[in-house]
Amino acid sequence: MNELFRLEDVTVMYGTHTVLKGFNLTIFERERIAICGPSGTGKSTFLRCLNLLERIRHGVIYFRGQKIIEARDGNVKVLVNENVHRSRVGIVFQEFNLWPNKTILNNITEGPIYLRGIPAAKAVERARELCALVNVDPFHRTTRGKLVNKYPSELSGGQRQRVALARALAMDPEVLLLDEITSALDPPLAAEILRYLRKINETFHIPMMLVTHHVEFARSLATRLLFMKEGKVIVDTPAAKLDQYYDHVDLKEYLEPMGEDA
Amino acid sequence: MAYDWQLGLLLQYWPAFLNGLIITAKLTVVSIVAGTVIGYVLGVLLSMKSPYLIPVKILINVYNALLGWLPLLVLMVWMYYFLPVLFNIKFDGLTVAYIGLSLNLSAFIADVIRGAIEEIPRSYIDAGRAIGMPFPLILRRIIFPEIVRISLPSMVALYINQFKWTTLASVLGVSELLHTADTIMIQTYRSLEAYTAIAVIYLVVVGFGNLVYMRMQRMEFFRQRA
Repeated sequence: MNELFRLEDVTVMYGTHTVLKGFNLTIFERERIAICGPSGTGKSTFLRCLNLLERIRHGVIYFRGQKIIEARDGNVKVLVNENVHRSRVGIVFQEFNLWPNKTILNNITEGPIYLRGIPAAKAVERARELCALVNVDPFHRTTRGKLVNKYPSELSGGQRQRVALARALAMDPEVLLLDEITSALDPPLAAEILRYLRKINETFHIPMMLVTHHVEFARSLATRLLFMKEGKVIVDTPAAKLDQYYDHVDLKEYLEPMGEDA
Repeated sequence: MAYDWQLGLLLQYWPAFLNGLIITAKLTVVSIVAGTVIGYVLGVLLSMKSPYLIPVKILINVYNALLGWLPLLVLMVWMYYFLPVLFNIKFDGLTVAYIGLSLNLSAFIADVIRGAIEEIPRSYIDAGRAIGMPFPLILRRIIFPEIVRISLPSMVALYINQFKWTTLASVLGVSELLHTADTIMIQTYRSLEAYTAIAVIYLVVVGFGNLVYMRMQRMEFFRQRA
């Protein structure tokens, strides 16, 4: 299997606080990774590093075998065009981050039109397809597609998060990073997002890495689970073998049955 | 005894009123354009975090404070009468009015723009960076439209006020609407009619401006927040 990301001895610091410590990890194509763990253990930071939104202080990160960033004790060298790399690695945030001054449609077409130079008509057509995929105006061909012409503030949280997914997909990324995308949503809406992630996975076969608090959510989608604690991976297991860790002292609170959650 | 209105008398002065309205409109438009441009630049500078800009920011804050604390009338009278004495710089009344009105507005706009920029959440910029937008594109496509969106209603309120501030120019002998009324009063002794006529003009223009303002406030585009 081809390697997607490789991290070697990666350290990230905020001021004097170490967020990731000597982090080593290899991620392969076609994997779907879920990263779980308590708040403040560097899960989001880890994702943001892969997209180069966060600067590492030490270590090396490879993307598809190519070194993208190298740092030695704060001496950072970015070895690829940052913006090109970011457009290949899609990321969706917890707080949707849709641009409030643009309609739903324009939020999705912004990148394709102004970064990729795709003709507007084509970008709009593709945006409508993606919207339909995540159930925003699914019947746009027969009824007037009204939602896409609204502003983000007029949509519900679940709808906005689905639009954020469509926006990331519109850039045709090679991998999708999902940073706690369900944490701001109620459990039923989170479950809905999960359904769409499955659909996206079936449609595009795109590798995904998601950070989440819901282990059940993680398990139902991911092929591999990582548990992090204090900037390190403490458990790294195929999703199918998660049951072996039921007695693990750090995992206990996560593996308790969670009722209708997730 | 009821007042004997003689509105018919004013009709023959319509060219004078029209001329006054045109000068008032000129003062408003020119000072709005100049004040907005200056205010934007100052506001952007104020919102920047670079330590090199600290002296510049102190200067801008002094400028804003001076213009904010000084009554505009005092500033304009001072420029008109004392710039020639102190620096041998002589402007006519109209020029002083243009300068005073523009500077006064620029200080308010600088504040509005700085506030608008600070209100833009970092996450919108992150969302742009995340898909690989270079910073100039983020500035043009995300930050600038957002500044306009956040600040436009406040700006419109300032612009409406600017129309009223132009009356101060009458003190410098600029024949805008108020000064026109003064002149007509002197010629006809019908002060009540003359001032009522311009009061109606101000009410109509400002009233219309306020309708636009209220309409904007109700528009979803301007209402939404993060």
